[in-house]
Amino acid sequence: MKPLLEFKNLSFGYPGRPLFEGFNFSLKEGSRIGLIGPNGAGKSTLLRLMLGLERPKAGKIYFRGQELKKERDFYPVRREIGLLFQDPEDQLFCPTVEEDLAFGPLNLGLSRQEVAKRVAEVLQFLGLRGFEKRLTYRLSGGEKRLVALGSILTMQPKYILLDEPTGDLDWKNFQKLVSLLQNKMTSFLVVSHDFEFLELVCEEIFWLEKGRLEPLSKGQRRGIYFAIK
Amino acid sequence: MHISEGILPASVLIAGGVLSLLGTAIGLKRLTPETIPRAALLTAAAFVASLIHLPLGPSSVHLVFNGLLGLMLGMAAFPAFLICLFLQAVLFQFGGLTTLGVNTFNLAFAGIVGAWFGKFFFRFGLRGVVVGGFIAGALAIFLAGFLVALELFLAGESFHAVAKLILAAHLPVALVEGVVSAFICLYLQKVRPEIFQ
Amino acid sequence: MARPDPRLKVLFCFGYALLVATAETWEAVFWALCSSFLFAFFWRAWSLTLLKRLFGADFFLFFVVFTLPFTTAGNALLQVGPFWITKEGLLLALFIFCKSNAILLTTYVFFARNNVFELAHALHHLYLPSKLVQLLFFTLRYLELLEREFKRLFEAAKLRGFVPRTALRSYRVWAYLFASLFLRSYDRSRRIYEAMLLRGYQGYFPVWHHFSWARSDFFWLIGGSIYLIFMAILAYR
Repeated sequence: MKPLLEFKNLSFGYPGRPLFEGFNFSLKEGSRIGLIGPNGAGKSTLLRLMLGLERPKAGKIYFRGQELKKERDFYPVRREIGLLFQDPEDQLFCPTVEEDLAFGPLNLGLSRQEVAKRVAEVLQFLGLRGFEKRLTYRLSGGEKRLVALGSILTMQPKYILLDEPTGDLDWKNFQKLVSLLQNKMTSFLVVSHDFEFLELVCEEIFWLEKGRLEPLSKGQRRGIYFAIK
Repeated sequence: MHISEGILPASVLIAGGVLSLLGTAIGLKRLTPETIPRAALLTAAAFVASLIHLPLGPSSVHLVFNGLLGLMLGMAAFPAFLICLFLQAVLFQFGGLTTLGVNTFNLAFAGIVGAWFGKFFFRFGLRGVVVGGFIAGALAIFLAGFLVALELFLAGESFHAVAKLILAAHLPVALVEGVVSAFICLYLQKVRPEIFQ
Repeated sequence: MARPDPRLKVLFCFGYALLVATAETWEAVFWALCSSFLFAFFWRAWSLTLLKRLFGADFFLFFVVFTLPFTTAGNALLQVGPFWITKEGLLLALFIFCKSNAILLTTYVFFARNNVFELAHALHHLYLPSKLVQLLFFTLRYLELLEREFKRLFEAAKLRGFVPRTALRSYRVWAYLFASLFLRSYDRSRRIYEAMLLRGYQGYFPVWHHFSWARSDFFWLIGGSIYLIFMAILAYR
């Protein structure tokens, strides 16, 4: 199967801090990937590069085989790949839950009926029925996280990137997120420092350090798992 | 300091309204999709910060940040203060609805003029930023006080004494605002210079 | 009876404030004050907060009202130290005080206890420029968040021994606290913009919420208009 997104020979860095040099990576639909690594290794930057929020210094990015060059080329990528931010406050910029969930699909030009249907479906999916009129800034941390996820799901993306999604979740909401990812979602990449969480929801786990992405074998995973236990 | 309802004659209210309308229109025109969230968040920050009272001798003052918003937003300071003052009027009943135009003009115009003078010094390194920040902050307040006094002066003979008092009352506030603005500019110039466009 | 449509409230309030603020006759101000009291009773707005707002809020007004009796030329009534209080001055001060409070009371009744987002929506549907309404929305959305953020910064400073004083060193700390707030707001605004981009934003902010015009609004419209016309006649006779 053709990969959804592909990096070829990509280089990127911030002034005084090179991150990637000749970096290759590909993302396939239907994969559940975990990404772990030390602080500042460029995990979030990798996600930003995928969506065109940062541009590589050198190298090429392909989306469904098409090379991406201009800002405009990234529009379809953003439509099909959703990103859950580290801080849900940044993502929930509308006053009410309903409006926030509707923002994306309205921008896609869907009719109000279709949008209403999607909003209702997503709230049902997340187990947040009756939250339509709730004010986003009055939600609890966990609810904010779930609604932010919802605001991406209403775009009906093919693939979802999650950046540190477990930070502000209590045990109940943690369970909820785990079961959503395990049972109801098939294509996602999670960045997290929580190895146990990655073990629960991912098929493959990669270690990112010094611009290299190393898949962790079953044995290494078990080793890390017992090391932190 | 914002003028409350029922004091100024209709002519002054209308003049202030028209000028603010003009400034707001230009300010909005300059805003792009990218700068709208920035302007809004900086407005919100100024709003929050202006609710804080700093001790000044036996009394206290709150800052206005019009010079600073002038430095950061340019002409968009007009819509920014329109929103600030509108919120203060409907949330706390400070200022008023009919004086929205006059008050917006006083703060935004003074802020933009102060920032224009202050910005000149920004090219002279960090010390210049401190001087520029002080001038922007202090001048913006002094000018705003001057405009308030002028408008009261136009309201009639009875208001002449109040006008002078108001102008005098703005002097210490201008000093504090200048000092605090200078340090704020120093900090931001070091950490995030692009905030001043 | 259903509450009036927010758009009507905005229009009515602005009309009312303009009329009262520029009114030239005592009759108009008297009736305005009476009706403001009635509004406050009708919508059960009386509370401690309201009283505080009326008497504590407006420093500027008090400043003006207390000086006017001394500075207006006219028949002297009373001597206080070297100054004379005049009858004209007293009346002018009272006139301004009543006007101001009538408007304060009405704005409070109509807006202060409402959801401010509803107000912003109303302004959108009254055809204010989209950019201005977007600014208002974002400002409102992040106001409480930034307030909390500043509180955290301030508390952290206090925990490290910061005591606010009238001193250059103290002002410097205040300045750094404010600067951190501005810095955080600026950084956050960039993340928000990115979040919008990722959800297909291209400059047009779609609005989901629409108002529906209820039958009762028709009565509110007629009632409000009649009231304002009546006030206009009284005010500019």
